[in-house]
Amino acid sequence: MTVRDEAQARARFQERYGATPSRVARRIEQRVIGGDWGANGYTTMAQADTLARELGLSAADRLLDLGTGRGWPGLYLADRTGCAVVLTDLPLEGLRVAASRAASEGLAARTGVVAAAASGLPFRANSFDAVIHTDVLC
Amino acid sequence: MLRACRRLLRPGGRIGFYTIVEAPGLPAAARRRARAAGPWAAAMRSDHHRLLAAAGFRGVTELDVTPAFAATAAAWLAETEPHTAELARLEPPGAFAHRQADRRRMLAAVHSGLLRRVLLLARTNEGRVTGSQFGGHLWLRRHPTVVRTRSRPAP
Repeated sequence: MTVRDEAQARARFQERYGATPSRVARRIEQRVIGGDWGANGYTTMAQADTLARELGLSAADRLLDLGTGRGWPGLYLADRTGCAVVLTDLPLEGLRVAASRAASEGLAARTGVVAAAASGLPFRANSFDAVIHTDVLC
Repeated sequence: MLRACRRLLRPGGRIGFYTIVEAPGLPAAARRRARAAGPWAAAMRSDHHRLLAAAGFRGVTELDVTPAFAATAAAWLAETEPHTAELARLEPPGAFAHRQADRRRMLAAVHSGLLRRVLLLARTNEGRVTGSQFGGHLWLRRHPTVVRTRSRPAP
């Protein structure tokens, strides 16, 4: 992805995440994805469960979710498995929604939210037990 | 990015990601059509096994989830179309229509055998996973806070 592409992607997602989801939008997400964690792509709840199972996520793990958007699926996986999670993306609007959801779900103490590009992750080596991303910056 | 992920993982760490890829073995013209139909925010790659190995990952596993991808894309279209006017009002002009067009294009490409979606799983070299060890990192806050960071080049 070029710098221009990245800037365009950021602007487009920023606009999308800035809009408050309506009741209809939440209902649609529930029917398509199976949950209401702010998903807008193709990773369903069942596929997030597959990730948790295949990666063997547990309360002992620290998970990094790249390109998290509004916190999907990282927050859900933290809720489901007990792991700690660090959510990263560029659009601040989405990260604000994710931070708010973490607080309302009682996940604040084990959730970190960081605005950073996947190409310049500001973390020390050997910081995580698992890394995930879904259809972003592949 | 995979090399950066590898660096961030502890011994025994795992990586898992869903990604949309062009179907293997396509002729050049079909590959171009696949890339044009693929997600605009992602660089379409078809050589993840090689890239993961080169980044230092082992035990690469790939699960084909293309049928679920097609079903989900179709479900987004079917569920949102009846509410087009309401949903479009929530976004900047044209944004909703643009996304619907993306979904239709990708769904058509899946049905044409051009695109697949896969789950890739791999791990670093074997070693004891040390478990959660919080503290000491500037970026980790007790309460979730949006933190701006300066990007730096991946190692």
